[in-house]
This record gives sequence, C-alpha cells and structure tokens, in this order.
Amino acid sequence: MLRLSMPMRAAAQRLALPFLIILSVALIVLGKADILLIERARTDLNDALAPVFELIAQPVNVVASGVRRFQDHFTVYEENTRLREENARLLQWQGVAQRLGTENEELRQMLHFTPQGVRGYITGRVIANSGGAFLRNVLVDVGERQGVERGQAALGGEGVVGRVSEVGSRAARVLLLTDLNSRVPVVLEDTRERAVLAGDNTSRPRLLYLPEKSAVQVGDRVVTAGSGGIFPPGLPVGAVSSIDGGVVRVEPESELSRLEYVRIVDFGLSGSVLPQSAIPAPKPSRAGRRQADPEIDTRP
Amino acid sequence: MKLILLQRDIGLINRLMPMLTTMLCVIASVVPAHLPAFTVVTPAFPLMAIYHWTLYRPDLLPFVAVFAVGLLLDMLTAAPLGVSSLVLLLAYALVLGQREHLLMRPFTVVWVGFLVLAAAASALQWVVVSLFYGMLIDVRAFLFQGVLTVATYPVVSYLLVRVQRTLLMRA
Repeated sequence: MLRLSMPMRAAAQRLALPFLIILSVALIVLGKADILLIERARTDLNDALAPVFELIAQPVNVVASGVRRFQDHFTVYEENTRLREENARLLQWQGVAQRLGTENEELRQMLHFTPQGVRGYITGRVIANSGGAFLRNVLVDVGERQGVERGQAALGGEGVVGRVSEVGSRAARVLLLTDLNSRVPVVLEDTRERAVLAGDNTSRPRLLYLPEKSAVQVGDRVVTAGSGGIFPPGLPVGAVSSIDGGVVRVEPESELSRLEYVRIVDFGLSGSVLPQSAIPAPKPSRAGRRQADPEIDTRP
Repeated sequence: MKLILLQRDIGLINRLMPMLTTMLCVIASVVPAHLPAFTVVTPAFPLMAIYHWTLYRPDLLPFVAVFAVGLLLDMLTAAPLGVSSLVLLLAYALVLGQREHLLMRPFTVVWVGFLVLAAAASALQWVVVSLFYGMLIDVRAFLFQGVLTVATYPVVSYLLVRVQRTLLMRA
C-alpha cells in the first residue's frame, strides 16, 4: 500500500472521482471503435471465469429444476392428455416425413444435387446471460477447444436463437436474435420474400427491408435465407406475429429467455464469415462476392 | 505475536467484505436463474450492493473499487465498456452526497432513497446507451429492470445487513 499523508489522501480521493468518470467516458468512446484488444480481454476473462460460472450454475439449476418439478405436479394430467394428442399427430407426420425423405433422395440423385452438409453439432450449456436492460446474449461452456468458431449459427430446441459472436478457448458468446446488434438475413417460407430480421431490444425482433408490396401475413413462417454466409439456408427462425403500420414482428421459434442448452451448428460455412468489424462496411469486393455465393443454391 | 497477526488478517478479510459482496452481486446478476420472473432481465444487484455500502461503510468501498466493479460487469455482459462504471460511479457520488439524510432512518426511507437512485441510474443508462448506439432504444426493458431491482432490494439489503453485522462489527 502507498502511504500518503492525510491531506494528500483526501486530495487523491477527491480527484479520483472526476478522473474515473472521465476514464469511463473515454472507454465508452473508445469502445465505439470496436477495439480488438477489448474483445480479446473479454474472451480471456470469460475463459477464466467459465469454471466459476459452471460451479455456481449447478446448485442454481438444481433449485430451478426442483421448482419446475413442483410446478409440473399440478399440470401432469393436462400435460399427459396434450402429449398423447400431440404424439398421435406427430406419428402421422413421421409417415409423411419418411415418404418425402425417400422422394427427396430420389430427386436429388436425378439432379446430382450435393446438399450443404452439416459437419456436426456442438452442444453447450448456458452458463451466464447478460440479463441487462439492453443486451441479449448468453455465454455457453464450449469454445475453440470443442470446435466452435465465430459466426456459427446457434439453435435452441426449435429453431435459430442467434449466432456466435465471440469465442474463447472454453467459452463462447452467442448474440441472440433479440439483441440490438443482431441482423439475420431471412426469407418468408411461403412467398420467398427476403428480409432482414433485426433485434431491437424487445422480445419480438422486426423484419426490415421487406418488398414494398409484400404479401406478408400473420403466421407466416420465417426461415434463414443463407445470404451473407452466416447461416445456412432453411433453418427455422420463427413466425410473423404482428403487422402494425409497416412494422412486421416475428416471434422466435425458440424461447430465447429460457435457454438452458444451445446447439452450435458447424455447416462448414464459417470460412466466409468476415470479422465483425468488417461487416458494417459493405464494399463490392471479392469477399462480398464470396459471401453472396450460397444464395445461388437456395433459389427455388 | 502470531495471534495478533491472525486477528489483523481477519480484519483485512472483513474489511474486504464490501468489495467481495459487490463482486458477488455482479456474478449473481449474470448467472442464469431460469426463474420465470428473471428470464429477460435480472435485477441490478451490483447497484444494490453499492447503495448499501455507500450508506453504511463508504470507507471500505473506494471509487476505484466501484469503477472496477463496473468494468467487470461490462466485460461479463459484453456491454459497451465503461457504461456501468460511469453509472455506478455517479450513483456512488449521488448517495455519498445524500448520506446524512438516509442514515439512521427507518427502512422505508432507505428503500425510497433506493427507488430514486434506481430510477436515476436506469434513466442515465438509457441515455448513455442510446447515445452510444445512436438511436432511441425501447425503454420498456429499462423500466422493467428498474421495477424488479427496487422490488428485490429488501432481500439483498437484509443479506448485506447480516454480513455487515457478523463480520464488520470489529473492522
């Protein structure tokens, strides 16, 4: 400890506040420039704290699942009836899917079509979530060691939940669809109209850049477009939930606020993903052309 | 001699308690709770700890510690670095200036004081973040977090008072 005389200490304490406030403002302004150093420090810190989070998450999960089990006791009868009905319906769909699968396979063979293969899924547990008033991201306990790369798509139980935005060696951050910074190229499944799904800090992100005379309707399914090279085409995202004076909102398929596990999907596309800092400046460069390539395959 | 040293060490740990509990609050605010009420936003636990310690033991929570807590919070949540530091430092300064009006008063008064602080902090955070992103961000999440924070304050306050009573009587 530095030994200072009383008046000196008092002066230091008085000066500390304005100094630290100015430092905070300076950091905010610097952060606007997306400095790589800050990001690296962040991933290192996440890596270092990942074991701590895992340790804490365990008892929390036990309590949470206990609470859920208690709640489930009251609904077990209704739940059973519902599941029985759903099972009957799903069995029908299974038959349909098998038939279509065979048909699809035959048609692919005729066309010599090579599908974009999934290289693998990496399942990670959510160990921290931002929980703030303006951030929607989660930290998962898989990283470079498990093969996670920046830009890969993250799926919840039902559909896309976001994309990997930062990767450390043993933890990665997934930017959720609802985050302010999230932009995902999507397509309306029925009309094949393209749009961008943009998070705006509400639970239902907006569809931007729809064609002017769009035939979009409430309930339309939204899937990834595959353009931009971030996501492979055709992954389920959600359904249009409201159209209000030109503002079209989408209810995500997966419940983003209750994620426990995410599956990170390696489609072998990450090679074409530009670093985040390069995304806001679209230029007609080679990289741009390469990004647009997967689009060609998806056109019906 | 050894005993005195040990006592001094315990004293040190005790005196670090405000900082440690504030750090703990930072971690608590990012641990996924999977509870229905806390799913979208979690209460601003660090603000509660800072309010409590600024009121009762500001000598054990220097400005630098508050700054560091803010940085840690921003790093863990991938927020623009410096936003939480700024908000928490200003909150600290505000409470420090109003301390004498809140000390030795019934809990309701302290709670109302916290309500004012939480409202100011949420508003400031909204302004700073909106400026940062260059757009007016939806305020509902900020409002909701503010309400949640004020509502959970009594519980956290109770726990911090327990820590203070058991560990800090001698320090």
